[in-house]
Amino acid sequence: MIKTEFYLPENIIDSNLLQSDFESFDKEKFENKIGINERYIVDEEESSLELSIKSCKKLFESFDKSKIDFIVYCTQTPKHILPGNSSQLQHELGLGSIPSFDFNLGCSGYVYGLSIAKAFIESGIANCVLLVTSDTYSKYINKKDKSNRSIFGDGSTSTIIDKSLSNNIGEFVLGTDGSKFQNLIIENGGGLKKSTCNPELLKYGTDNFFTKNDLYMNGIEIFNFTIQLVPELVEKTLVKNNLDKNEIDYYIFHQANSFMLDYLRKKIKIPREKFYNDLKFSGNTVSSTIPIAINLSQQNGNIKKGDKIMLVGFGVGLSWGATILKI
Amino acid sequence: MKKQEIISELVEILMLDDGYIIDETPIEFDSLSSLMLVEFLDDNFNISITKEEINSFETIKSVLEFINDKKN
Repeated sequence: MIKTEFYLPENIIDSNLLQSDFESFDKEKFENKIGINERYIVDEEESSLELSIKSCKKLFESFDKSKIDFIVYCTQTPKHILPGNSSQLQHELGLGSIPSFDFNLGCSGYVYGLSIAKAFIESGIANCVLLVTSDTYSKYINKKDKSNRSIFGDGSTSTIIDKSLSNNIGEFVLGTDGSKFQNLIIENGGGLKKSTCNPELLKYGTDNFFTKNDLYMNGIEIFNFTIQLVPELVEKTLVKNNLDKNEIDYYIFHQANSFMLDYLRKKIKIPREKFYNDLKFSGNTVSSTIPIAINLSQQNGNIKKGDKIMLVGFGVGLSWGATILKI
Repeated sequence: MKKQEIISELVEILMLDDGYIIDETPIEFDSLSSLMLVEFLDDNFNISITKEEINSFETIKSVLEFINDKKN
């Protein structure tokens, strides 16, 4: 079985809170359609690094950390611009002088991370990789942005990929469409423009405000991209792995929102019982949704030893990745 | 899909009260209803739509005209 753990911060943002902040927030319609009742966010003293330390410590309760010889860390919201979270994580967890690095991807990040870990193991560079995902989008979401506050939650996951698991990870289909980068972006605070003190408040959609210091998402274009891309991505992944659709025991897609997932499921003609669709109590945690889903699916018995699982990630970049995992 | 069925779907997506007038009642798609419109158009007509096009709709009639234009 795959060994994965997750940690969510303690501050709950529930629908009642959103309803008190936004007069137009329709709790019933949102929960029924988008499928999110609660999301958890960090406080001011907590970052993606602290979340990942807690997630890894949970993992080490049942795993000998001395076996780990590489850290691969996916985040877009590191504690500092530099150094990356991975070096501080290595120190905080007492993992010795093993190599580590961060990579910057969002909702496709976990699948990319698996591909990196598998490549390192197959090439003999590593024997046992600790793959970490951790993000705190809440730090970059404007308090007046109804849509993004209601969708995203913070969280972190940790996964062990050793030789035996690597052998059970199939072929990958990975890709990028950089022409659509502006549809999911934080403009300021990077290498070009600093975050500004009194940024202009901009409006998008109805009741959503942001500044260029904040996260901006064009949900319509992301949805358009997803419904065009994902059916073909699933097909290509089946072909590359020499598998027929009915040989897949379970599908775990990035948990963007329940409405989008249900439409994708119907479009691809996947039976409901073979398809994970549950972000009720964590929201969209970016690169962490897939490993959280794997963990919970193992716990509740939806996936069991011997099952073939298709993992599909898609999002910021715009970027995508899919593979097959044999549990 | 018949015109009346399309209207019924749009009324449901927009949660309009009874008494709406197709070419008069002002409409606005919020984030969620926009997603529902994207799904409806893709599923039934294989039409894709941009945020700008959604924002340009003022009445149900303007959505019907958009669908007709894209279909032809």
